[in-house]
Amino acid sequence: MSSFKPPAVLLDELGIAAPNQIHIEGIAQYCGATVVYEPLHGCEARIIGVGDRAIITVRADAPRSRQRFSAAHELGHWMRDRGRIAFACDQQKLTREWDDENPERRANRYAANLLLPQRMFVERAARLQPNLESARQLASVFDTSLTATAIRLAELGPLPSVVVCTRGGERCWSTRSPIVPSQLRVRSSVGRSTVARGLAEGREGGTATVDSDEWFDAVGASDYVIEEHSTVLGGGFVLTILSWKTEEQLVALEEDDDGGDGRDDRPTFAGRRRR
Amino acid sequence: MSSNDDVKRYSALMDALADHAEGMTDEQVLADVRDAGRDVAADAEAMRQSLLSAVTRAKSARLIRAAEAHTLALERLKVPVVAIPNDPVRRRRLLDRSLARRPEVQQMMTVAYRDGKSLPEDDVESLLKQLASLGALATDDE
Repeated sequence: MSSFKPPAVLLDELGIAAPNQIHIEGIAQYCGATVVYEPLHGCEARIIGVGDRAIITVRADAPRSRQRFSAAHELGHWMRDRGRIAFACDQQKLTREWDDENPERRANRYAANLLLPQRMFVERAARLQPNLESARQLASVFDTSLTATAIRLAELGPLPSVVVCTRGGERCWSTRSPIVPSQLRVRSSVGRSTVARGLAEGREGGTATVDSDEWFDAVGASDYVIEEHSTVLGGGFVLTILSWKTEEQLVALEEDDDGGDGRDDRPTFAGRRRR
Repeated sequence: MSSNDDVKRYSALMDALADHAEGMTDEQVLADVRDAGRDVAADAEAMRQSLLSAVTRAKSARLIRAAEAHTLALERLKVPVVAIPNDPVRRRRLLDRSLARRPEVQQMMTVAYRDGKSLPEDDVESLLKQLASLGALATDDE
């Protein structure tokens, strides 16, 4: 019999109803995995399990938000591969592997769903703009990493956004709000005028309005501008949240996709979200 | 009268009340409650909240127990189960033997330390201790 429990089931079984009740060590112990904090030299966290017991080791000197995410990530491995498991996950895997369907991505998803539960997150993100300030605010509430929180904000926030991780101006991964059209593809090498590229070259980070085609390969992208919010993550990675002040570009892409002119009943951001 | 008789009389009274309540229609019950000056909706909501609260407390108790179990598990992990060799070469051999007993784990370790990385010496000792506490450490003479 599978012992896999989705995060929502675990949270319900343990009566967890608020972010400050998400006690990752207790949750893991409930699942048979003991979380310990020790000096680790070869990885960010690891799990070794035999039978129905496991030990999750997390680097003792990592920031608390990263420790929590690492522990939840290893718990994700444990829930999927209990009984035959030994994983060691470094920081690059935890930062980089959000877009490929593999055990690391699944473990990242598990951790995000456990530490940033949909219902709790949606109600707290309801009035927030998609930018780094909002992501930091939510990361503080949920005690999670900026990356994981930014991704969740794109997935569950009220306004459309795209989250991109780059290194040296090259895209590592990206994720988007469900309402952002799929034909808006993030360039594999971002434009020279982007804040992210500037950060990679040692310039200041922050927020800027940039031409959409600096970030996206899409028909007519150069006709629009987007808001870019970029910051350095460490390890040479740059995290960027892209958002729109107006919806014209997204509507135009949808019209292209539908083949209609879309002039009647043109949806607003809020209306699109409810669809 | 003995206390035994009191219990019998009390039980008979409660049985009679229960029989009476069972024989009443819903409308009669609601009318009785209203005649007693009570707000049926408020009573029902209070009961619902009371039951929900009891369920939440029972669920939360699981997390509290798990957190306590975590504290105990940490204490147990501090107690050495077996002596780990001081010599790095012997330590590495012991780890290899322990993993060889469990090919599925060995395979995963290979995956875990892919990209040309090997398990650093500093991490071997803690891994051996953890394998020991999980009962998966090979013996020195295996």
